[in-house]
Amino acid sequence: MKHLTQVELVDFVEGALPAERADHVEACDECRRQADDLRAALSAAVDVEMPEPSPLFWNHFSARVREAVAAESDRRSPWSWLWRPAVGLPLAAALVVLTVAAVVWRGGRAPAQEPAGASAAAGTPVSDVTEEVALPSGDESWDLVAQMAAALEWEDAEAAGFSANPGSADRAVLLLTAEERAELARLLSVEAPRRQM
Amino acid sequence: MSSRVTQVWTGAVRPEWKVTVAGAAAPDDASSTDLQGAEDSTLVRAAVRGSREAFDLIVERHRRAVYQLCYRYVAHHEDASDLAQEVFLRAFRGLARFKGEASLRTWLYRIAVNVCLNRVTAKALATEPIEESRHVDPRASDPAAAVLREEMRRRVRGAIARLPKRQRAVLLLRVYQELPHQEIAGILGSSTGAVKANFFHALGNLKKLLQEP
Repeated sequence: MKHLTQVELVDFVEGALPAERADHVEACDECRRQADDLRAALSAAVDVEMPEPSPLFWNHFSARVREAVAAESDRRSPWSWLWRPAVGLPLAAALVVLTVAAVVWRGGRAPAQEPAGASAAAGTPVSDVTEEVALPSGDESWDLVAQMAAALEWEDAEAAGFSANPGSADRAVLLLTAEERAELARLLSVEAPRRQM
Repeated sequence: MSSRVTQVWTGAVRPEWKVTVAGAAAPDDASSTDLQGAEDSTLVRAAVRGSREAFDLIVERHRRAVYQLCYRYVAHHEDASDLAQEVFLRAFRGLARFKGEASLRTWLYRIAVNVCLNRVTAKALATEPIEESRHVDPRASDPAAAVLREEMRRRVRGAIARLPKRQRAVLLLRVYQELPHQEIAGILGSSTGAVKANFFHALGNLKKLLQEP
């Protein structure tokens, strides 16, 4: 009959091996020797007693754990829950969306907040009009929007359904200098007949 | 043969904890008096909600078993106490992640084994003073035999300390904590067969080490 495996020998020493396999040990010197060795080692290990600490120790131990737990709680920031991935990631995504929305909103509002005559008084050239809007510098979200918008033709935007907010054209005209208005009038006079054709 | 096995196992120190897992949920406003008899799972839920009393009770219930396991690793009272404290501190930090798939005791043992394996080196173990060796009673009926027995125990502790980490963990959990192989497998993230094989090798190596001069 086959010798006992390591697992079977452990089961045998612990009295958990089925009888038909345990019978093999009686007839096999090798398996019996191995089983005796295991028992001897087990017996030596079991004989090592565990000293019992004094009854006072347990209360002292619990107090130490309590203090450590209290200190741990104190160390934790009241905002530490923000760093949990389940909370932090959605919150970060929401903040990005809000930031982009705020930037776009400010971009649309800023020219209206400028004093109507400020640009005219300063004689700002046409190419500098956009600098009147308080654009965030180094804002990746805004840069992305600006890059996407740069390649967009007005005709394409109009065809796609984009349109200016009501009154924004009036506000833009108010910000123009006399020189710019004159240039605008010239462009319109050229463009209007083309549109009517 | 089975009587010899029985005799061996009755010599082991029996843990005194009572394990109770799963059961009815405690009401949210459970007082510390209500928690006294609550099941482990109830205490965990209360502790996660912020009840310090519930965590105190968890510590009270399992401190002895955790301390004993740590002591078996380091054979030194102060170090075992420090390790056991670290176990409960880690348990506190991770209590919200305890899902009750295993018993709380198994979960605490898993933390304890990790803490001990990470902190304890075989060198440190072999050189630790063994407290018990100081307490050979000279009034014993046979003081010489008592000294020899104590010397043998010291050698066994030293031999266990020199076992490979996994074999040592299996031996301690099986012989001293009296855990079933299956539960040990859960603690070590292993299979029952692998645990038994480790136990086989642990006992074999222990015998070899004890035969060294």
